[in-house]
Order: sequence, then C-alpha cells, then structure tokens
Amino acid sequence: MTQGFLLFAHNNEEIDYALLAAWCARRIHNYLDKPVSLVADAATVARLGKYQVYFDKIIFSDVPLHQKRRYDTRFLNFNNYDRSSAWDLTPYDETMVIDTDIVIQSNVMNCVWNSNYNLMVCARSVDGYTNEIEEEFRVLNETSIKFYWATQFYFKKNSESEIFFKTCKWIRKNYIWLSRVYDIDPKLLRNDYIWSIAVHMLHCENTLPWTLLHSTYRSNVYNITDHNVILYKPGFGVRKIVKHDVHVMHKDDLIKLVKKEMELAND
Amino acid sequence: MTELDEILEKADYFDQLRHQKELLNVNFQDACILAYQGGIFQLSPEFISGINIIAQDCAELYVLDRNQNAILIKDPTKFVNAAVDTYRAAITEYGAALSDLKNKRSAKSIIGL
Repeated sequence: MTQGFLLFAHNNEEIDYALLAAWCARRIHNYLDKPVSLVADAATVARLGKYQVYFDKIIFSDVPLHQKRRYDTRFLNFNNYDRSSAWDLTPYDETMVIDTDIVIQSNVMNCVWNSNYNLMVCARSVDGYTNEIEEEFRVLNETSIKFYWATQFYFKKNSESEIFFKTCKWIRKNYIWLSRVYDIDPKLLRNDYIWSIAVHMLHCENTLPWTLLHSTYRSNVYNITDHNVILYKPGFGVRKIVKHDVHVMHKDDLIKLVKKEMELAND
Repeated sequence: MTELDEILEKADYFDQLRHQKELLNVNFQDACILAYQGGIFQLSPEFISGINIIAQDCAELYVLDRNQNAILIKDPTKFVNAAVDTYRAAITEYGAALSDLKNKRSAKSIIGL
C-alpha cells in the first residue's frame, strides 16, 4: 500500500501557493516522513523552481473554475475547486490531503495510515486564539447541517471513497440549487460547504481523531519556529501555540514568515 | 507601576496561563490517540481499565474505536500493553509541561518573547 500526502496549489494575483506548498512539503518530510505529491497548474509549477525537490510527483491540473473572493480589503481569484478530483489525481493508495497553509508542528497525522477507514473528514477545528469553536465552523447556519472542513481529509483509493468524491463533483455542479436547499450563500462556493453537504448526504461521518487549531484572518502571525507559532491580535494580545498543527488563514503574514524560513532552509 | 498596571499584568498572566493549560490539554488528548489493527482509539484510564477487565482470558476481542466501529483485536493483552505505554508517555509529557508552565511567573516568560 502506497501512502502519501497530496497538496493543491494554484497561484493567484498575490498569493504564492507554490512557495507555501514547498514549505508545507518540507515540513511534512521533517515531521511525518512521508512522500508528498503536488497538484498544480503549469504557471504555479513554473514558480516552484528549485523547490521541486520536495515533491515525489507533480501532477498537472488545469484550473477548472475560479472564483473572485474577498480577501482582507481586496478581491482575489481563488482556484481551489479541483480538490474534488483528489481521488482521480492521487498517485497513492492511501492519501492525506491538507491545505498548504497548515503549519505542521507534530506527527499526529501519521496515525491515519493502515486504518480500516475509507474516508475520514475533519469535523473539529478550534480557534488557536480563543480555544473555542466559532458558530460559523459548527454548522453551515443555524437551521442547517453540521460544518466539516475540507482543509484536511484522509481517503483510501477504493470504490467507497470514490462515491464521496463523485458526490462532491455533483454538488459543485448543482451548487445553486443546493445552496437553496441548505440555506447558504449561492455566490460563495466553498469546498468546506461542498464537503459538509457530501458528508450529510452520504452519512460518512468518520472523523479525523485530532483537533486542528486555526487562526483566522483576524489574528496576525508574529513568528513561526520549528515548534511554535506566535499569534497576535491588535488590542487583544499574544498567543503562543506549541507543538500543535495550526491552520493559518492570514496568508500575508504567513508568506512573509515562510519566505524567511525557506531562505534559511539548508537542504 | 500603578495599581491598575499591576492588576492588568496579573490578568494578562492568568489569561496566558489558562490559554497554555487548555492548549496542553489539546496536545495531551492528541497524544492519547492510539492507531491499532486498523482502529483509532482515544485512550483514557477508564478505557484502558475497562478493556483490561473485559479482555481477561480472551484470545480475541471486539473493541469500539472513537468512531464507534467494532475492531477485532487479535491479542488483547498486547493491545492493553500498547494502550498503557501510549497513555503513560502522554501523561508524563503533559505533567512535565504543566509543571514547567507553573514555574513561569509572568506572561512574558510563558510566551518566551
């Protein structure tokens, strides 16, 4: 059984996802010691340059769809809708898909390999600043279904998991209709919403066992070292997260720190 | 330093202390995950002692994992030993980290900046 991580990266006008992917792959090698494959478009792969060494395989995927979304004070194109094709694209029998903006600081993700599960999704992510789960990450809305993250998930490549990804693709195609059924914003096509609807439809409620921490756009990232992340929220103060994986949504701060870390990387 | 500054400094210290304790507990819960024979188990003293009692004289045993799936454990004694080892390592690290945290007497020393 081959096992490995699969990352997706599509650069947009401002955010260098190629750099984030290389940095994430480097951390996977250091903490989890597993091969990493990258799914990216040609322009993003071209940006990788010398960082291609961190990847076991590079899989080209044209951007099938992109969406202009508000990011902080501006609108940017986000091209992350080929995630539903993870099953078709993965070169591994067992795959862990994670976002490239997760700061890996532990080996907890290694507990998924050789499990009996065909699919495990992420149900629990806690704000690293407050240690609480915000309402928007519990349920899609107050009258709707449970929220699941597409930020990280595990699957075995078999016919059972294939149904999940086929359902995700079907949801993407029928999103406007489904947004009315589930009472969500039809203009905002989010992978998390697609995942939540697919989990709800198929009752595949096996979840990843650990708690993922996240920091939202409202928390700045002050520093990242090998074993800790320091968050800062103006007016609220500082938080230190030690030896725990953190999903960082503030890309501007993250990219600055990643650039510094990758320049210092000596491998 | 005014009285208010002193109170604010203490409040900041207690806030950081509480936050770090909560994070250590999250790390501890993650360290108590045991992947065994295809199942993923969340360990606790209650879980371990319960399995230990049920497993007496059993050659094999079904155990529910954290997603409520029944996992056939081929050698229950070996499983209990693995669970004890994992839990012991997790609680030892948690205890050491907590006592290290208690020795830090200011918010600055907790953050380490």
